[in-house]
Amino acid sequence: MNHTIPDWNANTDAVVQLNITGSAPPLACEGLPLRFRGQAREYVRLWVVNVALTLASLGLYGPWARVRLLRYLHGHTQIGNHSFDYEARPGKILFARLLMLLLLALLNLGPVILQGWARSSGVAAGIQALLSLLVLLWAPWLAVQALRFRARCTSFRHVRFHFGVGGRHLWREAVLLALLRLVAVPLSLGLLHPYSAWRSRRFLIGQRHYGTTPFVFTARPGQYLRLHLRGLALLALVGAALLLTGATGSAVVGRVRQGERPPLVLGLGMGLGLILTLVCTLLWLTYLEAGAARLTWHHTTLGPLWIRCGWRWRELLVLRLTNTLAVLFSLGLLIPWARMRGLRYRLEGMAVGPAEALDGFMAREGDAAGAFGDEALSLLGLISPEL
Amino acid sequence: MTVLSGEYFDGTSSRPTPVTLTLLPPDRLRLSSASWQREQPLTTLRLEQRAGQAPALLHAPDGSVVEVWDDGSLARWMGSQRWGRWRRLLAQAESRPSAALAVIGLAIGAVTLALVQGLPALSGLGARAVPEAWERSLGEQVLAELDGPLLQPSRLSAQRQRQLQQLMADLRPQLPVPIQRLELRAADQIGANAMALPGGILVLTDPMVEAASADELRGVLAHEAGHVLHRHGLQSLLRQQSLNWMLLMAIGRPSNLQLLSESLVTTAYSREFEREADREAVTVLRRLGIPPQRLFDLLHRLETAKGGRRPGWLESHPNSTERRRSALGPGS
Repeated sequence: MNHTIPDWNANTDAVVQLNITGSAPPLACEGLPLRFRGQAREYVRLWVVNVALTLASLGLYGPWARVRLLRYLHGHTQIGNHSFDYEARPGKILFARLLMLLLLALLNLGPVILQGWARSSGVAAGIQALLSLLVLLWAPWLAVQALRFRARCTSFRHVRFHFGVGGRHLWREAVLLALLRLVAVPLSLGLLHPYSAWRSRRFLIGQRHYGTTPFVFTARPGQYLRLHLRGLALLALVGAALLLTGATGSAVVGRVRQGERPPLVLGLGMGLGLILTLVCTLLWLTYLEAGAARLTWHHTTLGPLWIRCGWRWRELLVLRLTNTLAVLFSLGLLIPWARMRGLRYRLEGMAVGPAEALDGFMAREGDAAGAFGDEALSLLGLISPEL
Repeated sequence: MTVLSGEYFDGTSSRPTPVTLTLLPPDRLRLSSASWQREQPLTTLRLEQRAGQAPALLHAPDGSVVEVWDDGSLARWMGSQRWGRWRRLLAQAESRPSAALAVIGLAIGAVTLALVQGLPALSGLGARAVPEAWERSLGEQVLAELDGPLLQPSRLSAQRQRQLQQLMADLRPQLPVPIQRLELRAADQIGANAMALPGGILVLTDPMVEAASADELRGVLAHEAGHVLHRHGLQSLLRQQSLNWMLLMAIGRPSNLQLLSESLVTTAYSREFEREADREAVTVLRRLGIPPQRLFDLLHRLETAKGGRRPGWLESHPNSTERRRSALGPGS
């Protein structure tokens, strides 16, 4: 009777073909690895058809297209034999989008109407500034709303995830995190970054539930600090590359100022310095990304379930560089391929266990988060949509 | 009788139950597991088609879900559902190249039709619907924004300015549309140019006044009055805005495509507006007994003085030869 359920293991040819970096990273412990079965060709077809339908409907089909593509990505992410699902209702997204567009239109048209009516540009400008300020004050609440919506739309075995259910002062924490990241971190010249990284993860993971079961996040800020300290060695490399660029660059500029032709060696040195700076910066960021992901998931549990992440920064770096080059040299045609490849590495680098614990989660009733926060902030360009 | 297998999730726990699905004609579905059976009218179920290799989903009103991999039979069973036919067509478009090509063709057709017919018609209607008070206030706002960065107070002598205002006053009865006022401005960055702002404010730049004879200036003013008559300022604003909003609607976030559409589509519309305004200018000049050729001579002089042009499809104005041909006919 089971013959209609595809046997993924028999179907790996196409997957192996695409997986250039080799197998998924080895994990330190036994458990159920995540599997990502998305294929670039299939995804592109879905993407083209949905974009075409969106154009044909002059944009109205947009929410359906997005849900369809996200359903593809979620549906091809599996633990054991079961896949995730994306359960947003496109009609609700459309409604939220239209509502926000209407609001934006009023904000845009406001000055024209007001000036015709108030006959004074000062009053009109004042009212518009006030409205913009209101939207800005509204943003943290919208951000929490967006997080709730995104979590709620994701389900595994048809039990939904939730964010911030019953949580208190979410709004305050969102404001605090935004201030920390946008003001305090730059002012402290990055010294506060480990703390900001820890605190935002505590918020994003610690407020999350799978059904009725909360995620528990036990990492300490000190651990993120130690990670960033280890990263300093790589930052020193960036510094050295910058120094090389600066030294050769100023020499080249000096020669040119004196009316001489700079020797080829100097030019080559400057080019090399620039490339090295870029690569080293990428290396440093990738090291932090992989380290933070391993650290974060290592200290996250979901009820009886442990979670592990086995990303390795060297592999992640190779993946990034090859993806970037592929996209550049194909003039963007390979974007879907690069996307599938990136998702495969990141997802297949994770595992959960023990397997039998997956059966025991219960769904939560009555968390109705609307699509408005997500749509509003996406339309304003303040957050990037999931797709 | 077809029997499908699937997995049942009751919506309250994460435990899956293997089930079989049977159709009980005409419109009931039976789910059977090892220990229970339930029946459900098909009309209460919502089918979510497969996306690639992800399973098809049957949502029941109580929140329970059945995952099924063979959605061919399922789609047939559910075919009579509301939107069922359309959903099946969509699923086919995603899986069959021929259907996908049809959808792409449909998209190209729809976009072309919207750009060539829909948007111009809509913006025409929209421009007529906008109250004159708003349009005037918009014009004042645009002028206030241009003053300073692009336009500076005119450096022409007071006498020359009076002459120009007199020329405008004499021209007024001949124009097809009431003109609010004529503004004179120095414009170091734009050079010789004239503008029609929404609500009927005309702007002449000093270099334009210096470059043109009186008859030529009448032609230029008549051309700008043509813009005012057809409310081109408002229309182009409406078209550009609707394009932006449509892109925002489709993508859900601000994107670079908006810049692209502005540089390609909006300039195409602008070229069309220029030709329309030229036709108005020719009518007015003929009524005044001035050879319309004068206007195009001036345009040609300005163009050669300016030198280097971008490719035509990037320009907001067609070149002077083309403008003359389209306003006066090919023989001229």
